[in-house]
Amino acid sequence: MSILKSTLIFLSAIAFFHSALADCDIRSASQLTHEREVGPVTDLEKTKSAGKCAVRYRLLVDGVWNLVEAEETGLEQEESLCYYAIEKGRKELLVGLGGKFQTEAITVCKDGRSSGVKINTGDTILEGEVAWTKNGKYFNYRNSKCRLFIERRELNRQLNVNYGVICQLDSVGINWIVVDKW
Amino acid sequence: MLSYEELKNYPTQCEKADLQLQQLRQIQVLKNFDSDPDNLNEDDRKYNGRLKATIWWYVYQCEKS
Repeated sequence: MSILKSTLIFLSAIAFFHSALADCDIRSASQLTHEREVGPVTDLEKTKSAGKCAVRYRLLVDGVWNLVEAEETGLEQEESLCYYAIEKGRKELLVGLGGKFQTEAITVCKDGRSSGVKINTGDTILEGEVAWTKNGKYFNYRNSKCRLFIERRELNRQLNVNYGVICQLDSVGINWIVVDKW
Repeated sequence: MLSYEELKNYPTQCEKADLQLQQLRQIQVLKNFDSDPDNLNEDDRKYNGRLKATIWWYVYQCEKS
């Protein structure tokens, strides 16, 4: 609880700082991270039907066996749905087990009016600034760790949904670059 | 040039990645869509979205970088 208190005080200080200096833009992002030893999928059973795949398997997490059951529906081929279902089950299990809550923030000060929060190709951002796609995973692209993102914004009074790819810019993993957007 | 329906049903295969990506990237060059999808009309946005998603599918799903 004391860590949470410290975090809240820190974030409040940032907010005060922001209001005092109107030319500064604060970017903050948070994510739940996991540091667990996870074994491979074991004793996998797949049940496929049209537009659906249900999976059942065991997963060793920090030396403890867990039974995982998950299913995924969609328009993709059943084998792809099975893959997504496996990932979904693993993710739900790990989220349920909890982890560490990380918050990162940077303050960017510049002259003139803030340019707003739209993410564009070529922008450097924090990873947590963009949401994960459903069934998302990290992948390798040109020796960089990348992932898909989804962006939902209001445009002309309608919900506008864009997808894109971000990749790590440095080995520390703080800065990510928007590689593509569609 | 592929129609939107042909693009939607494009038979992506990792084994044919090199050849298929060549075709898809050629379409990208010919279409020359704006890099900001918010600047595209409805039809172009759909086509561009499907085209890019298909191209990235190879990176995402196949064991290549």
